Amino acid sequence: MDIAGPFAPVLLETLSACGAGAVLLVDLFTPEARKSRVGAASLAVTAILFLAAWFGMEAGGETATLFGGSLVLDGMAVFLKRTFATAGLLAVLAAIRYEDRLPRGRGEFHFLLLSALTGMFLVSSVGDLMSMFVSLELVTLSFFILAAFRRERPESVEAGLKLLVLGSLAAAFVLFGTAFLYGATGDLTFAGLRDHLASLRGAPPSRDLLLGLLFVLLGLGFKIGMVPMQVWVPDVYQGAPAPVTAFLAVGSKAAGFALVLRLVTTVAGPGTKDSLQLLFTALAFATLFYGNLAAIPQTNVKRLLGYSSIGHCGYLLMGLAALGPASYYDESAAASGAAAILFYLLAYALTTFGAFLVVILFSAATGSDEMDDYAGLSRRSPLLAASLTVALLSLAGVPPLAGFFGKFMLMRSVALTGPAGFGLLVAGAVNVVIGLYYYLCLVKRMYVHPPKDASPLPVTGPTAALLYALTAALLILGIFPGAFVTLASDAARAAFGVGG
Amino acid sequence: MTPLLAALPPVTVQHYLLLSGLLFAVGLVGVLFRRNIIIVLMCLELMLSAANLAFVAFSRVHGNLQGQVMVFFSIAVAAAEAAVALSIIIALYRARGGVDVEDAAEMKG
Amino acid sequence: MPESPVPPPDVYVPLLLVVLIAGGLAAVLLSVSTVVTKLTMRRRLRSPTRNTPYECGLPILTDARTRFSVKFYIVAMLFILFDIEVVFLYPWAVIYGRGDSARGGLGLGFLFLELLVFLGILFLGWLYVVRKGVLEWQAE
Repeated sequence: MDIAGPFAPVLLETLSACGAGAVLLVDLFTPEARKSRVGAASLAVTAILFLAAWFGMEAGGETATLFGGSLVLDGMAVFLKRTFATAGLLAVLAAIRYEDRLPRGRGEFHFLLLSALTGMFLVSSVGDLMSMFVSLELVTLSFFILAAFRRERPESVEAGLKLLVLGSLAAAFVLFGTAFLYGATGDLTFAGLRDHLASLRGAPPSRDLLLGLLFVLLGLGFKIGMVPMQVWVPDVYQGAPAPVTAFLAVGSKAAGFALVLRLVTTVAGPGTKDSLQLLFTALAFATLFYGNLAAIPQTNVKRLLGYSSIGHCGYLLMGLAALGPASYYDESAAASGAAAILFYLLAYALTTFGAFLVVILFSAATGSDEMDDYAGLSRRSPLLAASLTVALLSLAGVPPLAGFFGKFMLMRSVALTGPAGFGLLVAGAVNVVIGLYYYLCLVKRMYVHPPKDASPLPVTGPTAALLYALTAALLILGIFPGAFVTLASDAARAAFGVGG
Repeated sequence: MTPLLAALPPVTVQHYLLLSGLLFAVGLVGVLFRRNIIIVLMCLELMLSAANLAFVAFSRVHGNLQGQVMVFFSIAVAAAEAAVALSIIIALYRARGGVDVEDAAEMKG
Repeated sequence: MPESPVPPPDVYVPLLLVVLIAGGLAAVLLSVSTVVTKLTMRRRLRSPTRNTPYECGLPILTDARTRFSVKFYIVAMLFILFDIEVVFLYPWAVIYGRGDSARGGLGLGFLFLELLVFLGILFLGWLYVVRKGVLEWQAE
């Protein structure tokens, strides 16, 4: 069903921007005693967005453009918007469980979550470099403030500052690269870039274009937490408020990959695919091993998830490495890589929120994020322990959970590229084992070690329902992935211009 | 042409790009090596300005206005970024009593 | 890369002249002043009063570099934000004034609606600032 007509490319953006404004107004004119209204308003907005994204947009429709090509709506955009809408709904649900610990500024907290969400919706359908920069900055600026939101806690301020300095550095790289892409093509749209490359007819692209592309990719590498631009990830994950960390983990990574995918589908062609494949293979190697090896000695759960998120960035980069060497070049391998990335991002969103919801509830009850304090959680709260276990196993990629199928799709796309992908396949498999090791260490603490403090941790009805729903979603996405895989594949094949 | 200047090479887009690249490099070095966060912030702004300069130069080359419009947006974004950054620096000053990089280096591992 | 349509260098000659005259004037005045002082002054005239920035007879009360209230900076930052946002009205006005509805064929009505949306967002920001009491200057 298509409910917005020609304005479908900005339907969700308009709704969520208006929703953000409404939440701010509700906050401004609500007395202090009744601030829970703010959370309810925010939840209503994200619920509407969730429904509009999943049931109000045509997935397989024609590619629509708006504002002279600044915004496009294709299958990939719709899929990403659905992922973001899901993440936004979960972020607000998590924030509502967290907001009692905010000394002030509930309205601003929800407003910023929604403005970051607006930016993510825009990111998923950017059609030119200008909207790319502006929407990326909308996401990033919102997260600067959110990460530093608990300014009475020095760690939170430190997280905000680190995100600020490195995020702005990334923005500068993106902008500088954008300038050179514009210089090489004389046009800011992705379509113009594609036409320019096509007009070269196999001749090597100009130095300006390669320089611009490199700078933009470096800048986006910060957002996705790719080695060597990953330094902010663990600190920010540890210091930021937990709902923000979860939303940042999903939002920043998915927004970054949305843009990298847009850029790569635009520039990947006979002249560039070899170097792109080599580049992404090397990056995937480095990112996989760095993230997973550095996660092993961690003692703080949020920090552990931070390093593991770098590892997941490595898996996602495998999908880009599937661009394939020239001799084996196969559009369907490239498209299957992109499809795997889309599916993986959706699975990663659900899994990350599953894990972070437990972290939020646990630290609300005990005030701790230390892994040692998770000892004996199964005896204190079987539901929390079971939910976290399922989420961690999904992160590790154990069948039949969502994370397994995502990894399977990524590996398959690499396998399609032939012998060149063999090394990367082995690296991926080794890292799955490393990941399994440190996730299981935490699971072992929860189930085997005796609790230091045996007092039970009660979970209220709605929260328990949310945990059950997330766990069920992970199982459904893992056991019956067919419908979602079809959506992702169609979107990716359309983006790479491969016939159905 | 004035004889004095005839000897000088004409100013081309390459000169603007060179200046832009130099400004970007100066900013990058400042971000990486300065200790005071206010100066780091100024260096970040310098990097954005370097990109703006490149945009305007390219806009002149191509004879279209897209690059200049982009500069409008990037200046607006930079202003918003500066406002957020200064607020966070004030919060850091209140939390740690200083605005040096060392005041924001507690988390490790 | 295409060569830029740069103006020939001789258009910069007036600029060069201005720089030369300004620099030359400063250099001449400073050196004349130094030489005259050296020739006419028998003894060095240095005293704390003489070194103060303003020799208008009044004793200086405090150092000029005092700390201002953070409120001052907040107002300054708000000014910059609103100030820069208003820049976007200029391109809008140019397009609207031309009656240019060619791009995207969205029409003047739509252009006006876009302006209202833009101003609406600015208004929301202003409302937020006012409700938060940032513009109240009474000492608390």
